[in-house]
Amino acid sequence: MLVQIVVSGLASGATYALIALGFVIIWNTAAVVNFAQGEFAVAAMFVALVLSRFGHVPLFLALPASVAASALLGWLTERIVIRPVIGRNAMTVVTVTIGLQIVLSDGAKLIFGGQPYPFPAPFSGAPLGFGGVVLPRQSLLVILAMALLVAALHAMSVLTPFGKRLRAVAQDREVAAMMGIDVNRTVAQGFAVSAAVAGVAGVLLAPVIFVSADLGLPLLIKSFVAAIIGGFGSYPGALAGGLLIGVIDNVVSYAVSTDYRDVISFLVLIVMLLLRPTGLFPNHR
Amino acid sequence: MKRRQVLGGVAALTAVGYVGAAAGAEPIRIGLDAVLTGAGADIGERIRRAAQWAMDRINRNGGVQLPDGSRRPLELVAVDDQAKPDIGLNAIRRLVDDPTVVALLGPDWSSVTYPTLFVGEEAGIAQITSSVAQRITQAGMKHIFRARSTDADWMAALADYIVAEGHQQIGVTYANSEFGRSGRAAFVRALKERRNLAPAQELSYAVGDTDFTAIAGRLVQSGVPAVCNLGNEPEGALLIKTLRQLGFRGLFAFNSADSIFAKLAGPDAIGVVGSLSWVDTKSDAASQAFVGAYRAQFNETPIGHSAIYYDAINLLADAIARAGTDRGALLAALKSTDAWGGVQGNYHPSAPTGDMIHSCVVIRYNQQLVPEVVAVRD
Repeated sequence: MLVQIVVSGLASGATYALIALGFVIIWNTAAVVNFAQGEFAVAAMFVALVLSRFGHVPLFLALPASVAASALLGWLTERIVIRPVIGRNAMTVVTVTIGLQIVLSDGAKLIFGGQPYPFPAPFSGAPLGFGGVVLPRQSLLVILAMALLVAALHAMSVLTPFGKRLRAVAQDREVAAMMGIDVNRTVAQGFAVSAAVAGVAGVLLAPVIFVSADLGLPLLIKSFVAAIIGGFGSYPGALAGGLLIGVIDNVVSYAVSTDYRDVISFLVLIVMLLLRPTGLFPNHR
Repeated sequence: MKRRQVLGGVAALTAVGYVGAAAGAEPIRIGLDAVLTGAGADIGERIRRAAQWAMDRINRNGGVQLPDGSRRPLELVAVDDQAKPDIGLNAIRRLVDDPTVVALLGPDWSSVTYPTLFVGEEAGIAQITSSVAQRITQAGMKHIFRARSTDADWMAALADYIVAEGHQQIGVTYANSEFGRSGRAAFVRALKERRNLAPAQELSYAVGDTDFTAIAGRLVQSGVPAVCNLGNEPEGALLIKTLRQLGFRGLFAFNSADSIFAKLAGPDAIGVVGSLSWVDTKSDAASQAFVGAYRAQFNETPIGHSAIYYDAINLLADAIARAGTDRGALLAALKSTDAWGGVQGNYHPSAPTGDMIHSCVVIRYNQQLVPEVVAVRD
């Protein structure tokens, strides 16, 4: 059973990792901690829900469309909310993103109410079995998507001109601008990519945990912890941090009690910050 | 013109005059506090709709005939508490401060009802609520009436059913919230008092949890043939889905096994047992007449709250007909009513605590996800 618990924890952790990746992209691009990151995932969930359930759009079209909508929301966020405060006091920027989180969350509640909505899984069927360990198809899809996205983000960062622009802006905005890089445009694109990654997490999670307006904050907290444990700014770190948090949550719930799950997760965070403040993979960006 | 047609015309004119007399009179206002926006607004709107419909039916028949022989229509004054105690307090104060409001309905959420109870008590106004928290009717207030059975009734019915199905080893899971803990306490007490049994295993979880593998794994490993879960619909749906994935084929009982749960759980809800105050598949004549008329009016199936607030309006109309519109007299009339029959069953407004009704049903979802009534408790 313990193997089952660990495998399920990896599946949960993969979703935290995906949202943590979004944190890292924005941090690496604009040096902004975006506390509205979880709401990008929720926005994608609701767009997919509206398209598939009320618009009767097939899932294979609704899912990419909702990720695109999330990307658009990320781009608009940068243009409307973040750009005017970038460069000001760090607390100002953080406060703005917290305010945005509340606006998006409460806005979703006003539109959709507080009730959860079921969402169909793209690949339905009995869970897969591997030597006595069962894994729902959707959880397997989440793990695979996470692995693919990490690889794609790494390739984008290293191999593509866009990735190089992102890294240049992250390293020094002024020098990047002197080199002819449109910094504002690059940061806006970074927000769009980050929101798209969160959107992927959202649409993958929707069939597993239902669609609800109050999901953003819990997703944000776990993913933020994952990003810090991994080393804020590190793609592999976000991945490792997310998986670690997912496994710790499940093992503690199983071996001790769910009442102690968050206590132990945050103890791990505190210990990590005391012993290794730069996280698990500080130099892997 | 034939004689029958003349008589028919006279009867129709009389009826129009009869209704018209009520329609032209000053309406009797009944206040309703419900969740009309935000989380819970779906049920709040069902509550408002059922209360308004009950009034419309009364008004179509000429309104309420008062002790002095005059007839007056009913009017609903609905306010929104947004499921928040502070907003509910202001909303209920507005209703109570209006001297033309003769009685209150609501709130539905216990977290709003309990801290605002004093407002109705100070005003001496009758208040009929659907909130389930036990303490609401245990505060010694004489103006409050509960038009719904509580978790003590539901858990007793559920415990009886599970044990009658042959299960002695029962795992109990519950949400670590007031609702979950209260349900767990009621179920464990019912199990002990009625069957002298204790849970084989008890596990809690947090509201908002999304991964139930650890809890489901422990239940499966313990080998319990029956699980009773006390909490809200999303977590209940996720728990049964995870249990089924891990191979659990036993009985799953749930205190919130309503239509929201069934939608979320989908095929995994088949066979799930639950206890509800009332359900549209209840086969008695009053329930089926109500369901038929409701469907004809709204083209949808009524929920438990529809029956509660439909009954509440009719109960108040009955008391107003006997006592008039004075708040004190109306409250006294309700308190002196020993028995009154509604859609949900028999109400006893004279009960000292204000808990008017204890009827509930145990349902089991069939292959078509229809909640079949498998036991009735009155």
